[in-house]
Amino acid sequence: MAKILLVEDNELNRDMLSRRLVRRGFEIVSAVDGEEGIARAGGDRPDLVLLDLNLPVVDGLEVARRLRAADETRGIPIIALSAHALSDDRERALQAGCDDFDTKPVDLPRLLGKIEAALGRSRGAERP
Amino acid sequence: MQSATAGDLGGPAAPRRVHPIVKLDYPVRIIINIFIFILMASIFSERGAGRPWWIALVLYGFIWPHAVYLFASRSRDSKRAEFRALLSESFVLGALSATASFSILPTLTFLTGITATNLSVGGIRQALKGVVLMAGGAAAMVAAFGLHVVAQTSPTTTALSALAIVVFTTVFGFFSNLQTRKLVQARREMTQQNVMIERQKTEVEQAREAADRERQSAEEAREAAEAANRAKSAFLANMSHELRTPLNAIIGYSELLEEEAADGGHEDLVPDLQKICTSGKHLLRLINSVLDLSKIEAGKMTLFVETFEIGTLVEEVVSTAKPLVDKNRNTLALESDLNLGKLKGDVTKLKQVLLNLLSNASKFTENGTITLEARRTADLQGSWVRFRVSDTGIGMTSEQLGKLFQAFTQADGATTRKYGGTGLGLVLSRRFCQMMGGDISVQSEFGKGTTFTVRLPADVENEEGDATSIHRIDMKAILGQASRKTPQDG
Repeated sequence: MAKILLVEDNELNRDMLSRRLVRRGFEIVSAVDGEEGIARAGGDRPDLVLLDLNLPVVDGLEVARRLRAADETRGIPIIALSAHALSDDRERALQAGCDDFDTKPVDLPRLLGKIEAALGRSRGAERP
Repeated sequence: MQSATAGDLGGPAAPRRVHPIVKLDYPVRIIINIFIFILMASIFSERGAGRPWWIALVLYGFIWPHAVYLFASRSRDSKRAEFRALLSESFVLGALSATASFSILPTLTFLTGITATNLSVGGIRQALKGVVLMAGGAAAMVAAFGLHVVAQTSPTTTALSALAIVVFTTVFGFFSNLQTRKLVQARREMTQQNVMIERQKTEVEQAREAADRERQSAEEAREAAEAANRAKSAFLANMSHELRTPLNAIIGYSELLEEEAADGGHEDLVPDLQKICTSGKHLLRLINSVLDLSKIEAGKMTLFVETFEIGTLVEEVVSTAKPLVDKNRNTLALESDLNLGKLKGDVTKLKQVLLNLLSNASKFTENGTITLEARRTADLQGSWVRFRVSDTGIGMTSEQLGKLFQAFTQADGATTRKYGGTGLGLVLSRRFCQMMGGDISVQSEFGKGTTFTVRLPADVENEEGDATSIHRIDMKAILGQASRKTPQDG
């Protein structure tokens, strides 16, 4: 089953989202800030990263840029999450190298659709 | 009245303005010439002068003053005519002095009178000219009739001369005084007018200062209002963020619990957990709507414009709306062109608009039909994509229609209690359509149903390969246009 790295500083959201994804059969590793997120992405080699944009230490956009810059994490799809509705987070996330974007509070069916789509694309890219 | 009009029409042109000097000299000359006549008459009668002399004297004494006035008042420059008349008189008086054999008193009377007059009305140059001409007049007489000098005159002539000089100075002084008083009066009126003008000027300046102050305070009020509005937008944005974070947990955990309760055999808890979740989601929609509206008002709403298949959008909307439509036992009919092609716009916002319209239609209709129509149309302004959502529901009165697109205004309070909703959906839908260059219109009949029509420009229908590009659109310009159309909104 696919392994998802959840980078989220809010404890409740992290706990809730990881439990719901585990119920859907995903394997979850989580990180509480940007630095830990980068380390886990390199070490645990997840199939996908769910990345909160508003993170302490290293913010989400910078995490996305570093993951895209490093050889071993370049191919991992990233879905950005943001609770900030007023800012241009979607645009900035896509520019920073994220594959998709979703807003919080998470609408689980919608997010699952985006996760499946991103995983499908990356599997398709690996095959040839 | 009538005759006066006729007289005005038939009469001569308005008389020229006669110079005040002419008016002053006229009565003085009439009186003085009578005394000159009497004085000279006493000399002529002593000498037994001939008829021509008498005729000349009568003409000068009684006709000349009127002739001078008539001529001066008719001439183009009455002042110059008067000066010339005075110089002619100087010449005549010189001749008369010679005729009076240069007797001291008559000569002195003539010289004093004419010089004083010349000096007072024409100044030193006029007076000197007068003296020269008087001498000329005397010389002409001497040349014509020889020089006779008789220093003494008869007592009558002496007395008359004295009388003439007294009368002259009196009359001249009297009329001079009249003129002076008129002058003083005129000056006083002018001073008063000046005071009034000054006062008016002060009033105008005060009014202008007051207007300036008002403009300044209006400007300050506007700046304060704008600052307050910015603060409101910032507050709403921050509040929304702060509210969404705990809501995230509420909705997420209630959904999680619902799933776990169902799996763990606690089905009795599921309906209550669903109520928590539904309420949480309603609150979230409310927050999102308020946030969207404040974004639009702050000019910060951005469109993510991409080219998309209209058919795909319609399919997605229909499948999402299906449960809503079924809820009140309604049927959903789709009427659509076979090949709708592509449209360039913000697909998420358009979907939101269509779902909002379908959700409204489902809410206000029971056991009826809700129709979604998607067509391409064209008119003089260009080609359009038209979406139409009609229902067979409760409809609206014209009064309700009037308030339809105003924020936080549902048809009435009872509507909110019975049907729920934020009262912001239609406001946002219309703003989104306007942002994309289109609009929403509505037709409704109370008790029969309602039709909403969304019209969007389809000018980029054939553009290909642009699906991934994201454009930002300057919303302030579009909002500026929209708010100009309805100035009462602001």
